[in-house]
Amino acid sequence: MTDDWNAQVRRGLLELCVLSILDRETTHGYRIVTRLAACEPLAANEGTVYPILRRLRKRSLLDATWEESPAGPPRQVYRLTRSGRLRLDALRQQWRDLSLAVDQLVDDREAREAAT
Amino acid sequence: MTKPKRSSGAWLRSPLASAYLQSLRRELATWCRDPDEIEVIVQEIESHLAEARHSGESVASAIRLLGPPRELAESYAVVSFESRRSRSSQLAAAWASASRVAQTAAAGIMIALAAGTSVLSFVLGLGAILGAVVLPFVPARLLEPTLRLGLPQLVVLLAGALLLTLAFALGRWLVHHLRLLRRGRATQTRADAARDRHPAAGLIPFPKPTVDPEEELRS
Repeated sequence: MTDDWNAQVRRGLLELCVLSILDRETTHGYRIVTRLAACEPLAANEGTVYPILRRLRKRSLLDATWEESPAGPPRQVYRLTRSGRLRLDALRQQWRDLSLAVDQLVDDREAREAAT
Repeated sequence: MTKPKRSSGAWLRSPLASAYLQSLRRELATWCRDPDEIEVIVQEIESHLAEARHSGESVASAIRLLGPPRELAESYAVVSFESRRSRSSQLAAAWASASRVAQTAAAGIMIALAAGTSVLSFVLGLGAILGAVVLPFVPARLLEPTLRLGLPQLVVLLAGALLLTLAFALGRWLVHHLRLLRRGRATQTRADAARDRHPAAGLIPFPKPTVDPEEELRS
């Protein structure tokens, strides 16, 4: 059950993480996947990332262009649009509010347990 | 968006990658009717496998991390469904908003008509009753001929009573609906305020419990 919850939470946060990565650099899908994999708690099933990129593009939060690649076939390179930056700012604020609220609840419970 | 030419030499598609991409194409075709969209998705996954191999990862490992073609295609299908649902929910929201405006406008017209009819009925009813009661006592020489309708007094009294009843009935209907309208606006305002107090609403979908939490604690 914890694994399910963990997977659900990561899936919910993936959009925020992907937008944050693209805020720093314009890059392609494989690079985004490896950046996420480098943060172990955020390591997502690679099959989840590409559909999310597609969804963000359909919502005009990202632009994509094809470019030559030394690896062989052309690759799609993604960059944030203005709408994407606005969305990222909104998600960042929501995340701050949410994590603060959850931390307060969790800290409160731990403090009560420590007192008893 | 124009694609650049395929780079020569570096990427030789392995049989494993070919089989995977073929399966993916087949699975995507079960829900996606646009062949161009299928081709773009397959080419992006092919690019991913090529990048993985270029980085020193094995194609088999990259394929394992992507997941089975059916699951990958289902992930894309879910995204497509969410986009369509989002668009239709936007349309639904616009339609609901327009309906609310139309309903409010229609309600306003009905209320105005009811109010006017109520007032008119009240005036006429009261006038008829007063006339039926008072007129027989007024000397005929003081009355214009047109004021004498020639109707029996009882009929005029009954008509007046009916008109007053109508006036009061419409008045009650008006008050009831005005209260409903005010209550509806208050409910909507409370719902909006509740939604604004929970900024996390919609960010993370909380998992539905598959087991009874108490049962799990006992076990």
